[in-house]
Amino acid sequence: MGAACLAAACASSGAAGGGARVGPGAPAGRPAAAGAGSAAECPPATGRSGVPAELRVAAPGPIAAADVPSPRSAAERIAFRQMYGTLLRADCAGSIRPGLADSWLSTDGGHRWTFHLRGTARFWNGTQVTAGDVVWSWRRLSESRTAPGAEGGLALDGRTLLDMPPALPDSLAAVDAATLEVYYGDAPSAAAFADPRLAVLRAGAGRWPLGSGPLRPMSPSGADSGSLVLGPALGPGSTVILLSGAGGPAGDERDLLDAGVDVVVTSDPRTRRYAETLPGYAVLPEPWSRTYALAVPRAPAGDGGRPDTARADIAAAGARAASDALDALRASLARDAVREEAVPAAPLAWRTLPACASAPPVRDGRRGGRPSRLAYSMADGPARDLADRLVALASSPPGTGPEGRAASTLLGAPQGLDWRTLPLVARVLEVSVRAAEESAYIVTLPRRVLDPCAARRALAAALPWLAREGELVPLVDTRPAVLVRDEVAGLTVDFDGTPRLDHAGQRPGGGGRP
Amino acid sequence: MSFRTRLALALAVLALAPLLLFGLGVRGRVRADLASRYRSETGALAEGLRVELGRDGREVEDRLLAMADAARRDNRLRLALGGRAAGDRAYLLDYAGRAMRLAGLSMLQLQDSDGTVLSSGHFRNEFGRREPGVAALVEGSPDGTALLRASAPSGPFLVLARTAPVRVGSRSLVLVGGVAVDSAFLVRLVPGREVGLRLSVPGSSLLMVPAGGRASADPGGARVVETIRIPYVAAAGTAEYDAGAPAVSDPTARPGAAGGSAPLGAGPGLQATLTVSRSLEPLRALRRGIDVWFALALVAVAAASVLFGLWLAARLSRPLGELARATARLDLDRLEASFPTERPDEIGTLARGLQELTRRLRAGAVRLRDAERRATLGEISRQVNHDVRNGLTPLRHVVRHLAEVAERQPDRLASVFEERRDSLEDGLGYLETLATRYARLSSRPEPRPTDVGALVERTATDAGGSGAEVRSEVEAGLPPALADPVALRRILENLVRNAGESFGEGVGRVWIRARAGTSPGRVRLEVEDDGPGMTTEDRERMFEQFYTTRPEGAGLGLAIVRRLVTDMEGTIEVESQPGRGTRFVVELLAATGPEERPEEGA
Repeated sequence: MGAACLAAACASSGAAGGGARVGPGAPAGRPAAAGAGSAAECPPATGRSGVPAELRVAAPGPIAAADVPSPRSAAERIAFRQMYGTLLRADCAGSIRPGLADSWLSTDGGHRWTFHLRGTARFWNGTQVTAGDVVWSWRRLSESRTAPGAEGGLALDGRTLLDMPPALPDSLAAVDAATLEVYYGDAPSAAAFADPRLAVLRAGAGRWPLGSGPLRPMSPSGADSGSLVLGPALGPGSTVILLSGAGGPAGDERDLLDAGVDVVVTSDPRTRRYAETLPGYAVLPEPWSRTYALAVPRAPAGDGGRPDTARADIAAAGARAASDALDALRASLARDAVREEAVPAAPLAWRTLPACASAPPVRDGRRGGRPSRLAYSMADGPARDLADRLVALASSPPGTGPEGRAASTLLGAPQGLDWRTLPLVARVLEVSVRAAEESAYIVTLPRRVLDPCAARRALAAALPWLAREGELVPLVDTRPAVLVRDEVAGLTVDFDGTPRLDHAGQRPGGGGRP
Repeated sequence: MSFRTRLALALAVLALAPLLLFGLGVRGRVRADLASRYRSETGALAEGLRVELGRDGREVEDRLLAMADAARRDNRLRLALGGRAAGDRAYLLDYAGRAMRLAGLSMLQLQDSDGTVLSSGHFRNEFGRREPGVAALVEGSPDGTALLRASAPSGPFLVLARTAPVRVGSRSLVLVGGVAVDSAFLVRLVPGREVGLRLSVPGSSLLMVPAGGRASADPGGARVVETIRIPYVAAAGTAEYDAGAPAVSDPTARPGAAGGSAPLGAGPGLQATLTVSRSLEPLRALRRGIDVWFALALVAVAAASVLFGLWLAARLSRPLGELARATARLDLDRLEASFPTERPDEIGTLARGLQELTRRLRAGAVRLRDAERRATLGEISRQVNHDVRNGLTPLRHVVRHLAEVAERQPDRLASVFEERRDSLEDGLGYLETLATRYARLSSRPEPRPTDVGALVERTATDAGGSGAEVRSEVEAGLPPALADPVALRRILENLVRNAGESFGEGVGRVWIRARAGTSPGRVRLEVEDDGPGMTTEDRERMFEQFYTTRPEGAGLGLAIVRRLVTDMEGTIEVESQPGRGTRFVVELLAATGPEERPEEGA
């Protein structure tokens, strides 16, 4: 039996979050219940009162209208989030809130969903959003969906390995202009409908499809453009100038801070440190959004001829993060190895949820062989740092410390063996991981997912050998930094850390740029 | 073997023999010198490489010393090393990387006194690794420079390393750093030279740069080799490499088979070997080039000698052959051959001698004919004497009878005269007949100045209407010829008739020309036709008596012509080729003495 889900009552339906942790250096997390404690990771709404007349936001990556609605960069993620609306929304705490739909009903064990569209849902041109528009958008997405690129998950900066496709229904129909019925073979949670890629569009005369978000493009934009100007779609509001790519002629994000950009999204620790020294800027605490894990296709052979014990240790470490050596290793990795802001990884809650209806069972297995190469995405700095450190520890002669032993145990080989790193481009890494060509991998996973079951299915597809053999050990968690000028008000973040530049309906005044 | 062939071969041998001796001697000397120079060049090259490596090592040392000085003065590093500021740990861990990049090095470690890596530039996250003794081994090498195997995330690599001590606060640290020794490094040592380098380190495979600086497989082949030894330090604890280990320059290859062998020690005395080799192929190519050019020179000289010999032989033998052929045609009936020459050399002398000989033979032939004629005249004289005496005898008897009658019976003289009158008239008639017969025998030409131009024109005129078009050409100012006009006319008539008969049933043209001779004091007559010409056999036999090419011919015309010409001490030649007509050329003596008025032809 399903339950009609109204806005406020859906706060705990299906949203997944990480453990309750605040900042680096926190002790290893406790097992986190889905959706509980997530709010602690969410930053408060920014700043002082007042709506700025103009807001300048900088984020890495290009912006191209052809990518709507699947963002390929952090800049697109921010832009599309303001421009296009979804049926439901998930806030930073994971609470499901109404979006274009003001009510929804789940029946048939969650396989069938009925949505009622809000009467005030309008496109930029003032026309009403109808169920037919939803049908058109989702069918368009289904027909032309390409891989979501490096942004397969819900991460912010394009480094996620895991490709989790949007939850498209097996069938959908517009009952009337305001009512939509959809059917899923794999029953999703309500949070799945907050996937930004399920945004509702309508074909427009210009380059951009019509959206129903609070902001609309005010100038032509394309992949070559360095900026996108967004203005309030309906009524008053702030103008947002979205600067894509790193700022400055030399590509240094610190130049953006010097230029007084209101919001800068960055993963560069140097930029963050620079912002911390600047008066007038604050670092908006973001949820820990990315987990770096060690994926070993072969079960570890153990240490000193005790394979079962070693495997049990690894399994235990992966499941409850209880091994002191592993904890120490994680702490060392987060503190010293990774040059971005990192904390020891907490368990991925969405992996340990109760079994999904169609998720494949996880079984431990064992294979022989001696690994020697640790592959990672060459564009991912933390992945490189982790791979280097693990290789350095595993290659050290025996007796050099507990970290070395832990690293060798994780990699499933005696310490002192010649290990090497193998940087690969993202596409090649995906293929290699799937085929388990190398000995071990550093993979990046989203900490927060909308649909845990879908995420587990995606994980099984990306690491098909994980169900038969091998291990996946979380190492560190990272998060991007959102640097905000003190005067910027009303800035919140979504469940995935994407800033909401939502001043729609508010007249500019007070706050804003000096 | 002909004279020409013998001469050609003799010249070839004369030219080749000294060239061969000289060339072989020079070639041997050049080859020996080249090889010696090649070897000493390679030795000098190896010495140069030693110097180059030493310079590289000193350069690394200078940079490390500068880094050490900067590290001593770096407060933040001091704080980080002291662990006083937690945030500076990242500064310490990144310190070696910044310093390494600034200094342009490929490898840098900041080590503690016990060999613990505090900061690594080439492998940022190898901090905490212990490499005891490595720094001491490098420092203890001769010149303080050693080849060090360093670890990197992508695999180990070789470094030309030095060390530099640095004291920060109370801590004694050491900087270990250097430049990568890879294919590019080796190529830089020998850019573009025909030298191969081969670097081998204990327990590992090779770095190679063949001659020309292009990295490729083992060159192999004969070569000159020099060896440079470099102290080698393998960082303790690096993975073992067995015989099947991949090349140092390949970071993506997997290590060798699993095994429990002990890691390579960093023990003293380990050395890497840099082998400098220079292929002998360029030297061989140079030698081959010398041999090829030498052979080409020999061939060229031989060919030139043979050709020159053949040419020289031809120049010598051709005129001799022509003289021989002309001489072969001489006989008493064919003395009109001439040996014209203007050569000043021996062949010219021979030709002029033969010419003179032929002239004397002609004169002798004339005299012989005169003698024969005289002999014939003598015979005729005797015959005439005999015949006359025979004719006079009956006349004498009649005269004596009449004398007796006149003395004894004078009154019967008239009757006796009548009786003996018939006998007297018979005798007189016999003598008259005899005289008439003998008068016909005289045919000897009587040369005298003769106007050949008028004779030519008369002959051409008289010959018109015979079916051939006869034209005459007379050179102006032509001197008279010393010739018998009757004989000369007969000569021209015979030649013109012969030309006309050559046309057969067809028609043709005949030219009769009179001009000055080819040499002073001679007059030249030509009779030319555009008839079918003569074959070589005809040309050689045409002056023979009774030789003819026509069934109805007597074969005496040209024989008579030649005899008449010879009698006048002239020459006759013929030029003819089948299908190209015939030309007879008669040269006679020109009449000398302005008082002699030439006679026109009869």
